[in-house]
Amino acid sequence: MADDGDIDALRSAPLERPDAPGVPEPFAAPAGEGEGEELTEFGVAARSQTRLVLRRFVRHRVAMAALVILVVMAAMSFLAPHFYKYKYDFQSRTDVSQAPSLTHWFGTDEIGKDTFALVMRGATKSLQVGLLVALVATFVGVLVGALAGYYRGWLDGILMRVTDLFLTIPSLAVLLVVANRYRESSGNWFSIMLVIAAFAWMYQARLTRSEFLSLRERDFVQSARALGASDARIILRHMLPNALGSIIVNATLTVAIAILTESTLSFLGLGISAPDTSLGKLVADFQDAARTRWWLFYMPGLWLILLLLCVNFVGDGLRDAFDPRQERTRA
Amino acid sequence: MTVHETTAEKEPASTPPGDEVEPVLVVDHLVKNFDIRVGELIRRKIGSVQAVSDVSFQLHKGKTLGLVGESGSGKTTTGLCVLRLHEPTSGSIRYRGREITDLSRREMRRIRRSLQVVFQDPYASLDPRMSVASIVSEPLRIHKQTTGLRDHVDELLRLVGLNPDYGNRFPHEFSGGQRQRIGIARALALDPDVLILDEPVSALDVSIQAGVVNLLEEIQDRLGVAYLFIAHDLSVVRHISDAVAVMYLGKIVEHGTRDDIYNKPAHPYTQALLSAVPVPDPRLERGRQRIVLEGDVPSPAHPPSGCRFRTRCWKAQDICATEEPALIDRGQGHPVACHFAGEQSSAIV
Amino acid sequence: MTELLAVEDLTVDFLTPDGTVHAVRGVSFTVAAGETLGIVGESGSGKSVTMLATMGLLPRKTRVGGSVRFRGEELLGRKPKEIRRFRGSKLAMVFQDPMTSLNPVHKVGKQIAEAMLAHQDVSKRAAWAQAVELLDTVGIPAPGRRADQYPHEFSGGMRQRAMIAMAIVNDPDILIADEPTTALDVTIQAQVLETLDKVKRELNTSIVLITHDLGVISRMADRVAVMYAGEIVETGVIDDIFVTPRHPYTIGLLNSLPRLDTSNTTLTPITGSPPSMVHPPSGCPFHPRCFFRRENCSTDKTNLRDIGLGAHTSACHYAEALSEVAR
Repeated sequence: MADDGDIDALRSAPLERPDAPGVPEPFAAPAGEGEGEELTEFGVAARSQTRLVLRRFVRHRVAMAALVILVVMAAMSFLAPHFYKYKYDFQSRTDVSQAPSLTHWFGTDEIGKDTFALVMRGATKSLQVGLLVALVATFVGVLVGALAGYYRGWLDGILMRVTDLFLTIPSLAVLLVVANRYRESSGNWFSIMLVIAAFAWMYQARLTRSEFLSLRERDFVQSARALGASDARIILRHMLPNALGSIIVNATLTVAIAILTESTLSFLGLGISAPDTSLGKLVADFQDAARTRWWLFYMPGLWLILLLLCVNFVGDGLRDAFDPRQERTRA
Repeated sequence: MTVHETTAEKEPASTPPGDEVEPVLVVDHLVKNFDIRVGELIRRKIGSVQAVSDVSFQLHKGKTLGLVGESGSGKTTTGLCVLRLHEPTSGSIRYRGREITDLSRREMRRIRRSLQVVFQDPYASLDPRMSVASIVSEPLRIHKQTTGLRDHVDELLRLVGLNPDYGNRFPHEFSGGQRQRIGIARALALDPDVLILDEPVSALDVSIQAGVVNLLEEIQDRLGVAYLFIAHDLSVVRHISDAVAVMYLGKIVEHGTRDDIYNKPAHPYTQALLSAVPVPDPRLERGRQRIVLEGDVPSPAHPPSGCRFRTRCWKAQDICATEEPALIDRGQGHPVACHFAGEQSSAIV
Repeated sequence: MTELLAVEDLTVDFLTPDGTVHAVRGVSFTVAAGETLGIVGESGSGKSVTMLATMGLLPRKTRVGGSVRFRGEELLGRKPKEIRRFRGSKLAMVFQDPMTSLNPVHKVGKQIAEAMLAHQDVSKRAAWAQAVELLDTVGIPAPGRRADQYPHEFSGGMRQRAMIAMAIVNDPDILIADEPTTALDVTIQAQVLETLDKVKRELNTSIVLITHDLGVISRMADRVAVMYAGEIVETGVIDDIFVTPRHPYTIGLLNSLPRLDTSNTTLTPITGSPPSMVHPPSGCPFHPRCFFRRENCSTDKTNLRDIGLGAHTSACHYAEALSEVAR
């Protein structure tokens, strides 16, 4: 085991350095040589990559509109209990099967529950599931993908085989079985969420792995290695921030997929259970009412569609904004 | 082509100038093979790319060794092996007498302060998400030399001719030449003895190259850093190098002082290389004698037997296929790896 | 000498979300029969864009002004179908990257043959035979076998020569080569340049050679146009430009080059960087970096003008005074 002091001694060995890192004045202010003066041509404040991405996103009009709508929808859903008169589980004895009106914005169902409150509650739950699934799936996916892409070799082999395994298992079948088991238990939406996440992380893993495989060969990563940076530093400080673009875009899309999956489960009667509700459950519960009491079916349905569309558009906008071909304008 | 037998002055076989002083870096019989593997979980080796095959050289304080060659020559791989960014297959690399090929990761980390690198692409070698100040200070932070960090970074930026006020900007806001200077500042942060420069000016506009080359020379004069200057541009190499080694398909075919190589090239490949470079002087160009090689560079996975250059060499004989020529002084005063080494009968340039 | 190509006051603007990029700002030059015109410039000079405009190969969001006349016929503003008559037959182009300019899924011989079939009324067999012959002309060994191969089986240099073969299949009057050897090794570059030389000699083709490499220009060109920031700043016969340059940019460029033939050089870089083409400098575009800058250089616009040296023209206001300064 080498003596570290040895190595240090080598560095301060005989060859003198007349000028250490300190720079004598005459050289510090370059006269004709330096290109420092040229920076005045910029005349703008330092613009980080993040700010540029935001700027490009804002310019994408559809995505911006979708984002605004999404925020409004989410705000309405979460804040509904505070500003709306009726609660989702309240049953009015008098207002039964009413069409939309000024008191009941979306009407009521056959047992007097307010449809608007139900839809808001449903949206809240759908969003909760969607966001949490995306969070868990992204975390797991990025972890697996980053390790596989950075270390390669046998670790990559094993991780990718596991990923492939999950990809080949028919997720819906497993979901149905698991969902059925937890059908009536309380707080079951948490378990549902975990199961959905268990089958949503693979795409992120593959994506992150491929990003890391290509980033790994880039010069600035080689430079970091040459400087003696540890693996953790390289992965966390250099590669991850540069892979963030595709990770975020994919996470957004995972939200949409998760919401849809949950809706599917609920539609099949295996998702969120009564008295709680989700958009999918509402659509399932009231599918027969479509022709007679249209508001019971179409309100949650359209709300769900609008939600998913907006999420997808935001995802598109993010993808365009993160386009890595950002260069200074040159002819 | 006639072979001239010249009476050479008595010079030792290994020629780097200034070897009265101890070399800072000694590379001996460096070999790097890349395995070609197929398969997924169990990867079978089906062949091997011989990127670097028995390369030896020395670097001295304040001097530049130019390593030239075309694609497939192995020059870049050599540089990366010295830094152990590729692990050498075999061979020895000694920094100040200390063997570094067998050091642990932690020990190597300390050595890395003294062996730094500047890469070719100024657009790819800087992390686009870090500010310039962060980029330049990163080596200091990694090696825990953070006292007076801010001033240190400012000094480094000034050293390479950049205004320290712009340290909070991002790489994409700078031009190619400026980015390359940032890369150089980063490489100098830890006060290295040895700087590996892999095509440091090739990606820059011609008028900008001059500024960076001058900067590198000033830094060498000032700080005494030894350079391994890897490049394919023979004019730049001539300008900055003290000694030159010419590589072809993983081997050094000729090695000498700058003047040896450029004024008295003895290996046919060196002669062809020099002859192929067009000079920005039309009168000179018109009068030049040109050697145009036939064919393409063989694949490094299947190098020719014996002398690797023989498939394109106009002097090739049977012996060239059976016996590999050793890199020794054959009367020219510097090592040449050719059975029929000899000076050009008329000037290449 | 007959003028094959006459470009007059060409301007090209790219419309981008960051602003209009004035890539080419009033460029005029001619190409005569049998000569090689070298267009020299660094990145951002507009040299490639100029020739792309000539060939009608620019994307849609561009504004092109001025005039480009080939044998007296105006090329700008023509419908794509009409331009195709010229492109590939009278005016042919060779690009920089041989990896991407040949279609990887078609055999090389087929691609050359197709170039011929697009413009000439010949049988497929005849076109193929001609393709093989051209591969031989450009120095590719075993041309019959090679024609039957795919681009990935060719090396970089061979691909570039195959591209040249494809370009000359219809015996063009002008061959435009945009950085044809920049991506190639030096010894391979020598082969390709020999091939271009041969083409010029045997077919009497004019060549427009676009490059940043002054060595290549020295080797190949008869006349030279030096471009900077979307304008031509100096033109002349090759010896004029290299031996007696009359523009500070040209002088600066030549002084910044290391030499292969001597070790005793001082490299003098040109200070500063090329300008943004969204907001080019006023007056002379080079003035912010010019060692000879005077008062009026930032205000008075420049034009290529006669400086009393025959065909040697310069855009510098003080070109005459530069004779003392050069080198």
